[in-house]
Amino acid sequence: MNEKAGKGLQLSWNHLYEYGVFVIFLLMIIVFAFSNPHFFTVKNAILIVEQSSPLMLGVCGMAFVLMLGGIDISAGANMYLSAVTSALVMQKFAESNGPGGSAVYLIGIFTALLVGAAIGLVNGCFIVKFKMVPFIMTLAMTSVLTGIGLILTKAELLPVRASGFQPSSIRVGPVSMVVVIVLLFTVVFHYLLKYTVYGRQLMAQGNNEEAARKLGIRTKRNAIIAYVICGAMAGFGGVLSAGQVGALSSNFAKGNEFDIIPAAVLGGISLFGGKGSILPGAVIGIVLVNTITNGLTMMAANPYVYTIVRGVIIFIAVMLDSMNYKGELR
Amino acid sequence: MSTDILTLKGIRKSFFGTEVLHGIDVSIRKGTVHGLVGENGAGKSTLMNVLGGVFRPDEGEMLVDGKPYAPQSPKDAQKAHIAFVHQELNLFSNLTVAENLFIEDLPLGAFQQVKYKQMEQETVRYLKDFQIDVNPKTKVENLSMGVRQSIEIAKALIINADVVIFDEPTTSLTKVEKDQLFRIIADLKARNVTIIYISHILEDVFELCDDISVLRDGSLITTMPAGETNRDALISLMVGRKLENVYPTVEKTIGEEILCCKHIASGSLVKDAGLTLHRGEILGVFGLMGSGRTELMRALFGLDKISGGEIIYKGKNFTHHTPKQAIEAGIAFVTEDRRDEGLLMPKPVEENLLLVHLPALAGKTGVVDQRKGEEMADASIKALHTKVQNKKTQLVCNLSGGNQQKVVLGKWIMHEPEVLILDEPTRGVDVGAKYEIYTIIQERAKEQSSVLVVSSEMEELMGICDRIVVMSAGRMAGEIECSEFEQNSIMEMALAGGGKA
Repeated sequence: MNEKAGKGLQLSWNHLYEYGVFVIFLLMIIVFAFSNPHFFTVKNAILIVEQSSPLMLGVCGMAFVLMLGGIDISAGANMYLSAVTSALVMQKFAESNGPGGSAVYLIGIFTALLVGAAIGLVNGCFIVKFKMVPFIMTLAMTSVLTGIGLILTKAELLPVRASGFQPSSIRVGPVSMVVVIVLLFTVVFHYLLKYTVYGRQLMAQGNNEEAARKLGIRTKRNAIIAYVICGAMAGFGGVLSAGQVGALSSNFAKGNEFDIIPAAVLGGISLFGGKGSILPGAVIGIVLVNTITNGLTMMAANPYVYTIVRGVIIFIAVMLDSMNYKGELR
Repeated sequence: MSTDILTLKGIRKSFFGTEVLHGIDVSIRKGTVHGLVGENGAGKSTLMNVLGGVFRPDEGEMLVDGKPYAPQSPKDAQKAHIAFVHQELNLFSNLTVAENLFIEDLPLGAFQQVKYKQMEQETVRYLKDFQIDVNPKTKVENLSMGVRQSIEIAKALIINADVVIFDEPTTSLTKVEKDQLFRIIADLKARNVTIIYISHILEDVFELCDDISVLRDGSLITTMPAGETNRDALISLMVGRKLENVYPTVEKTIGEEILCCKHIASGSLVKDAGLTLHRGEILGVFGLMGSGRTELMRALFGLDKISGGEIIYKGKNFTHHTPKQAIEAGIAFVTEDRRDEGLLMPKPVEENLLLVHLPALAGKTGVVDQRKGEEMADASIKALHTKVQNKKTQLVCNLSGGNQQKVVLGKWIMHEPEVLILDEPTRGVDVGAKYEIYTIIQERAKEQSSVLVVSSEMEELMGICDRIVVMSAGRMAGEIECSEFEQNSIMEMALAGGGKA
């Protein structure tokens, strides 16, 4: 009797969930465009894409961890410490070999990837081997990483550009090198998640770990790899972001995980695991988050309003995700 | 021609010190359908899990086609061409049908990419054999339970099985889907595949099976050709225990009606259930797994929403209540799963005992009266003969099953409930403690409390109850007075609605 009505309602919720992000996106653009003539311009669009790019790497990595039903709160602190380590290594290198040259780029990015991956490995091993709750494990990690970063920098401003690391100054057409690299990686990770055995099995175990184990899928190995990918991408994003900013303050990348995770979730990747993909959802998610920040800046809003808006974004992202979760029969 | 494909010799298996399989010897002829029947807890599933490589036996050996077979994991079983269709579904609901079928061995291209086209074509071709007509790109979460079950079976058979184990495969199937399953089984048999079929539905067992083995209490009672027995004989073999004098008796009187429910519907399992409970009465509720017995109790206590029917409690309508209201009205519920639902395992005995009574102990001020609490905990431990060394430090998880159950009972009885609902009160409890728990139940009834006991051990219900109602497929299948208790007729009733459409 009531079944039909119930179904109709469910359908509309599903629609809201599926297209809600796009609707919000459009509304935001309209509001911002009307409030500031400089908002709806090609120049500003490119700026938003540039700003989104380093975080997009973080979203790519986070997608793997979220697919498991896990989470990595330490992404922001990872970005910070990876960037700091990388900047220090580059500084040393520039001191002995002089600034500039492609070698600086290679060394800088390699260091950040390595540090990030190592952090991810520690996260993954503790979470998988000791069955620690991912949230708490990575929260503790956040504190440790921030502390190490502060000791290394003595909480002073650390210059990055001085060693010749300026990835955003290399232009490829209208955008910088950073955007191109990030796009490339985004496609690769999308492919990895969607079209390889690893990605498919990761999604399977995120849905029903017990069944996956019964089939002989190496669930522990897969999970650790997911955290390593997440860590490495956060590190990579960190160093690219540092190149954009030019110098590292002690507040660098602070709280970035709360842009990365909601962006992924807004893009359709479920916190409950096993759902979503990087393209196009997650990309739209991160651009959306940055568009809002950008728009608010242009409206000359009170900077404390960002904090509120960020909270509201997290709230909306998680609410949509939870409403759509049907508590599958296991 | 009929050589044995499978031989099990002296299989023993214990869990936490309790032996559940007492040396099983059984041989299964090649190309036959072999039925395995027995009550809940007889050890059917455990035995099949041993065969399927999920558990390792403590003792005994297995031969497949005359060769020794000692699986360390389900993978080994698959390598030996033994497929296992589990009772619960093991599909990934977020993936497509094709992905589910091939997840262990995805076809890969030159760039390590999954070849979706090829996989989907193979899926269609493969599922055609099973007459399953689904789009291979459909996500499993969008399919009905029946189709999911069929896919699960198809997936299990993808290994070219010589032996297929079906553990209660029909529980979530409609009539049409069930017929389809039977066709698949007939087809497999025609291809000389051996099938082991576990089911509560004896009609199905007789329809399908060549041989039938009966398990009871972890021992194999007999193996015989299906043609040489009948339904009644089988039921006798399944339950066939003599009632021993393990039940206390107490003089008591049964008073007026206290609780009455009619046409209760709740969730998917309880469809149209009703019962009447009197003061001082011990009413047994019997039913097989999935009959809705536990779900009915949950609905009565207010844990699950009631979608139809009404409950009259002490003459008043009491249909839509919360568990809190139920407790305040004097109803207590001891769940079947004391580990997860009944006790705070890592907490000491006293804390557990006082849990329900806490608001009463606190009174208006909201501060718990510690001394009174201690006294009450002591009284409960003494009254129930709970073996506890130190109620403040000893953790509940370190108590034996029987003593744990006494803590749960003590916790509720402290509140002096007028209706005590017990779901499997003696599960995992040894014989001595069982007797004491029965005594506690009888004493409650003597004090004019009413007790509802759900149990899958029929013998237990016959020993302590004044009356037994039988549930089957979410409905009441019958009611028997104490003087007319008889195992076979109770089992008949419980099985009656088993072949649900």
